[in-house]
Amino acid sequence: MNSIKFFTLRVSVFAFAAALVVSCAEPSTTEQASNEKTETSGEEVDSLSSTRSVVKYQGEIFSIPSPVQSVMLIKKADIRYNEDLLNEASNSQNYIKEYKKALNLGVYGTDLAYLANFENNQLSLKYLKTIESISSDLNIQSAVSQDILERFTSNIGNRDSLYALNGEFYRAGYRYLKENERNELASLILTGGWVEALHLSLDAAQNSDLLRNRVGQQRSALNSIVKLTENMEEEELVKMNAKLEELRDIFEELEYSYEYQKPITDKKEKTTYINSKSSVTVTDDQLSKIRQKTIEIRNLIIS
Amino acid sequence: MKTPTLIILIFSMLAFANAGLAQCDSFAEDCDEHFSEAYISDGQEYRALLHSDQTAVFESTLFGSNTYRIAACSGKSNGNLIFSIYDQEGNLIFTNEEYSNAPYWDFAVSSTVNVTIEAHLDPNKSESGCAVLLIGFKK
Repeated sequence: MNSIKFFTLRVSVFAFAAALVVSCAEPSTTEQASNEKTETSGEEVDSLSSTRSVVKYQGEIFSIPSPVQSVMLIKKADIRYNEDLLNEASNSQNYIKEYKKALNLGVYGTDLAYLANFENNQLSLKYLKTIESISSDLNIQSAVSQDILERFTSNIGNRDSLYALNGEFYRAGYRYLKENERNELASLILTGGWVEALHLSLDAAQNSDLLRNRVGQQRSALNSIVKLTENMEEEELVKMNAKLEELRDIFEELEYSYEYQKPITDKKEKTTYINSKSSVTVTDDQLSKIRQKTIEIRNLIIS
Repeated sequence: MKTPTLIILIFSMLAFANAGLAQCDSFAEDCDEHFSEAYISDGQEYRALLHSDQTAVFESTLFGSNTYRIAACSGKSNGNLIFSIYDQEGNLIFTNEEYSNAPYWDFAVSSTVNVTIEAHLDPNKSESGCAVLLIGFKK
């Protein structure tokens, strides 16, 4: 069976050579694709060719939903602005270790998107400076083009531009960390951003069914976050992962439903309309448990 | 395996890997061109070094009432990468193979769905190389 592992860029030469040799000898991370048939639009389609091997992404390539999407929904739901929900910018001085800086870089990125939501320009600038400072400490700033940072500053007050720049900034940082084999930091930035988005969404969920549903729909992302943060050695990160697992257990109690509907594709518009129906039920008690556990996790991150 | 053979094998693999690594940076930038200002990046890049007999797989959540764009690139020209999307029950939602390996496609999602995205090189166009997938959502 053929085997290769997903790579992080600029892997050290000999480590990479060794990994390749080992992977050829021990195809533990590759699975032969199943020859399962999948029905769609009345056709039988092979999900994967039986001769094709599946490359499993190794933890670091899980897709985590953008925190910007959550804060945009908060705006859409017309939720009242609450500055007290944010991690104070001054707390950044307390973060000495790299892993804390990385987690809170994610947190502040989400907070900045939240501030952009409500066009708090003065505080946005303060948070932007905090993000720049932490990025510099983590040696990410050099990877993020000066152009992005300048556009950030010049677009303060322009919500849509700030959303887009937020995504651009974090993608550049993510790419840089991956290229430099700093996968753990990249994962922690994603984790911090996701936890903060969940925290903001949970507050809004008390008064909005839209946000309550969005919270419930985080189960898959949470599973990815748990996998991203397992096997980390720092004591605080081990604790955080344990609490994330507890949070996952609460999510497992939620009631989910899914009904496949045939998608419709508009070739001219290059668009496929995904019409399947899904729902999630989150009771008040479950919402309360999720909120409590999320506060515990967030406190570990921002303390 | 004799030592000289092993050394040649290792350096051959390294040559392939390094070429792939350099390709990835370039392809990711090119892939960006498929995103207009109307789309916001999810802040991540999905990359894999593939041979023609391999498929990259990852899972994602597409939230309801959103439109997503997925761009798939490998090589300087478009259409080298085939990507397919399956829902959580394994139903095929879309494959660009049916649309001339289109390098990007939009997905208007009515209700939140967990999907599996698979990508592999078009064996008629490329035997190996870096595959880059980007995901963005509409403002």
